[in-house]
Amino acid sequence: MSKIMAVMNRELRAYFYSPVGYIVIAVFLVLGGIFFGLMDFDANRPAEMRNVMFWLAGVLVFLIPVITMRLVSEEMSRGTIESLMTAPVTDAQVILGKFFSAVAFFLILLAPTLSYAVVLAVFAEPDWGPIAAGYLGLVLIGVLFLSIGLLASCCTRSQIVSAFVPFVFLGIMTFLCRFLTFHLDGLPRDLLRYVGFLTRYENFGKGVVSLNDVVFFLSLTVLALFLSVKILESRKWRGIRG
Amino acid sequence: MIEVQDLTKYYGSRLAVDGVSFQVDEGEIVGLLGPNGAGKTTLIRMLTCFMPATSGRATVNGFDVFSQSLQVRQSVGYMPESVPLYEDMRVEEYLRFRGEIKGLGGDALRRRMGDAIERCQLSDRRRQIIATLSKGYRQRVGLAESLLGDPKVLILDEPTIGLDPGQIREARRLIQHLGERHTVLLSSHILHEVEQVCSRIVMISGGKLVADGPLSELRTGIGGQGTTLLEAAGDDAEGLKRAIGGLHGVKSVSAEKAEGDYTAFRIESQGEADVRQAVGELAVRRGWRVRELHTQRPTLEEFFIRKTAEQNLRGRAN
Repeated sequence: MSKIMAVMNRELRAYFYSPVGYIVIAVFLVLGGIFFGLMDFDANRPAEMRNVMFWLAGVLVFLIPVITMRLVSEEMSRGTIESLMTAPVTDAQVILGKFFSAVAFFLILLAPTLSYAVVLAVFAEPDWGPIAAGYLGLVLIGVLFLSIGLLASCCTRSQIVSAFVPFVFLGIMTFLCRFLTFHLDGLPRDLLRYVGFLTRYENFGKGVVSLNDVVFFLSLTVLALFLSVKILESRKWRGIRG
Repeated sequence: MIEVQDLTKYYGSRLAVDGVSFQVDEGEIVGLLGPNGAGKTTLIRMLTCFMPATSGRATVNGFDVFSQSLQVRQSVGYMPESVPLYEDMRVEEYLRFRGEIKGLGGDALRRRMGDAIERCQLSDRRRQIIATLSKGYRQRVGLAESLLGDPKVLILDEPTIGLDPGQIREARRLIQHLGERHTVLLSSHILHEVEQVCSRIVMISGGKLVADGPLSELRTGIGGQGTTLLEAAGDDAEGLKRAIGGLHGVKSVSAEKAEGDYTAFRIESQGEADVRQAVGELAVRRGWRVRELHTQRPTLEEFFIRKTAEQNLRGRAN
């Protein structure tokens, strides 16, 4: 456990060694502020955060790959993977440490948006249930995105590739799936509703927390982490140099 | 401390390490020697559990590198070639992180860090960001890192590559010092470096073991084929050449013109025979003016080149 903490600690610091961490936070909060101001913070609307949360999930499709791209790819391209993997740590400890650091960074990113709820509370009496459910959904979908980004980062030493691939994949699983549900009928539509990340996520925004959706996000997250560990292990077997 | 048995590694279909066996005993400083691309780094990466062998066995500190990988990694300090470090961290931060993932904490970690920093003379760079360090200091950070766990075995891959002569001498002194507390295996393609630090040499070329033994043994093994050089001026070079050829212990003689009216004789002797005195007396008796007479003992350098050349020839023959 202390080794996971050590890896997590280092990785979390690394976000703030470079400007990337600050830029990601700034972009996220600027967009969040715009969405909140334009769509939810209005005298004629119910005091809720449904829209800002929906759009912030969309922003995460772009931002999460930037958060996760360096996690393992950078170790491979700089060669530090060699000293990391020859230290007495298991592959699972490395992956979990890196994953938790990304989750911690994501929570730091998310924390200032609580101010929107405070603003609502000052001017009206918001319904706290859907807001709490919305945050739960946002955390769950964000954590899933992070694990997918981490998985991509384990596959390549190029940070550009490890940002681009999950970006495309997440784009398909969120926007494209949701878009197609409007244009399809019958079984294909039901199927897309079932696997589409955004359609699942919308339920939380409405204040509906179903075990079904929670298990969906969590199990996919665990699957992506498991595959990450296996891919990291497999590097040893494939005999790739460096 | 380190036992390697028949270790073999294929990269795809390319054979990188071919059935290498050797042993390193406690307290030894052993040099792993070979030209670039000989398989040194591959061999070391198998010993440090970075990659598995295709076949063969290796144990470090009594632990099998394949089935007891974590214990091996716990007891080995490893400095990879070109010393990969987290550039964005400060020296102290980096060492703390590495200590933590080696399972150190609290007082023990602080003590070991202080010790490593002191032994590698990094005290004045504790707070510096690694990216701004010079090559020599980066090397020291890598070395300090490998010392953190107070490992029984230190494995250093090309520890002096890229350093200037002053830094090389410093690194050498440091490594010699390390030998007092650790068993050291270091790789290098530079001979005199190994010659000065190591008590024993394991030489590989083309993935194969070509020599293994204490330095003194390797030297006497090649010392027998010494060459004596005579430079002298006088009449009848052909006659002197024939007379030298008739001396006891002389295998062959060749003569060629040197600058001035001097002639240079190269005399190959048999076995351990020292023919200098006999050659000198003979030349003087015949009225030659001698200006130089000495024996060239083949250096390790020549041994190295000969061994690797043999290896290449054998490779081509197969």
